[in-house]
Amino acid sequence: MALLFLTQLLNSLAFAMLLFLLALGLSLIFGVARVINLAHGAFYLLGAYLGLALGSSLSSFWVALGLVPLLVGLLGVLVERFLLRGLHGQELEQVLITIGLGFVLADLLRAFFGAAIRSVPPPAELAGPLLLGSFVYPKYPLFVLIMGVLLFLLVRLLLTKTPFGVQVRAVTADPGMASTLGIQPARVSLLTFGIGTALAGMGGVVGAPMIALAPGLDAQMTLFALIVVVIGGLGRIEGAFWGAILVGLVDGFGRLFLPQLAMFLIFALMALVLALRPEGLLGRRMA
Amino acid sequence: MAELYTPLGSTDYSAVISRIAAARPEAVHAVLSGSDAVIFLRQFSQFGLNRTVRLAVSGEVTDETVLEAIGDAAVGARSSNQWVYTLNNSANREFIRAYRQKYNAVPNHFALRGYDAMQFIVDAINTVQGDVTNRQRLLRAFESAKIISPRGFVQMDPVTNNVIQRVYVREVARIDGILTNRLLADLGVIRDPG
Repeated sequence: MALLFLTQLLNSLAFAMLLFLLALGLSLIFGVARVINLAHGAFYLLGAYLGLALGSSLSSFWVALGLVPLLVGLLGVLVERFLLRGLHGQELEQVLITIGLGFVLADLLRAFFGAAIRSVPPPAELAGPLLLGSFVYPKYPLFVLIMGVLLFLLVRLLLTKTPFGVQVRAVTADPGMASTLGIQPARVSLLTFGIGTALAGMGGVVGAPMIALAPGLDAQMTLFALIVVVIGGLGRIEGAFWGAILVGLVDGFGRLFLPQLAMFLIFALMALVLALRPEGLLGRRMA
Repeated sequence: MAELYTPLGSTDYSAVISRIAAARPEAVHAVLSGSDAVIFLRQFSQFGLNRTVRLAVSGEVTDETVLEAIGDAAVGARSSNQWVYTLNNSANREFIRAYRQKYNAVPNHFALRGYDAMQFIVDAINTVQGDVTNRQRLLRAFESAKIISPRGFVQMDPVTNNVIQRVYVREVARIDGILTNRLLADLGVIRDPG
């Protein structure tokens, strides 16, 4: 029983780190550009399929892991510049255009890669199990877990210590005030959108060996990312991190002990958080 | 002993596999097909369970259509099925040769079922000399149809309209560079209980 607990704890935390990658991008984009990017799951799926295609044609997972976020982030920059820039402050139009973009991306992927469920093997260095005495656990989810924690620390450091990080936080807190201080919100917003979508694309590459690729995964991932930021609180990286861990644990242990109720438990948690702390566990009230 | 049910088209089996890893059973009998079989067996081997737990699965799990996607992690998995790649009869050798020539791929038990079904149809139509308007006669011709199948022996059960056939135990192996199944044992002629 203890081994089962430990195994499922690690499974849940690895999945949580995947959710963190998604929710981090979603949260950063919302904070700076004030856009709820409902195409976020489609960027995840795009990253995953590009990772599948590049990983098999270049036969290197690591090259794909480096290249795909750049490509997906570039697409994100183009989307921000040419689709969303003109809709600043028009929330309904932004929601519609990002939903539509999600549909278009997901359907293009289906047309190109087919509707069959595809699974990606982990890179050879991370394939197979790790033996720790009587405890056996696969290497790959451990890699995802460690990478997620390192990324959290890295992004937190970037946001607090670098000039760009300070600009991102300034625009998130008050775009009007930030622009009077010589920060160009448009430029920060463009870069943040690129970084946010690149993180989603990276999530796709990293996630594919854990969760197989299938049409519909985009909507599922957008939903998970939204739940995480609603629970954790929008606009703060700590909110995305702890929210992702909470959702990952509820999902993992829900699927282990109450498989039929797993999704219900997540929504119940979200409803509870919304009722008690509408701004999220670590969120701040937005003006 | 425990039973677990997973939704069709699952993309992640880690919760189920955690349970198997914790229970340390002697064997796992899995009934999965297509992508479910691929993802389950891949995650099963990521946990290293393919080295400690005997897989005794339904024929679909180790079907030739999914074996290449699973890879060497599947080697050694046992299954029961009505057909084996290594069956030593002339009809099977001819079936494999013709299939490879036409599709440039290894046949599988789904291809075999289609092949035999077509043989039954041809035999029945020949028996009624092409006259398919008399349905009763055509149905009787199906019931008594005799074909030479690559699976060794197959007949229609006139009582249930199910098949009476040989069932084999097979094991995944790499033969001449391809991943397929080899014959372990012949369980004899079995009447489908219907």
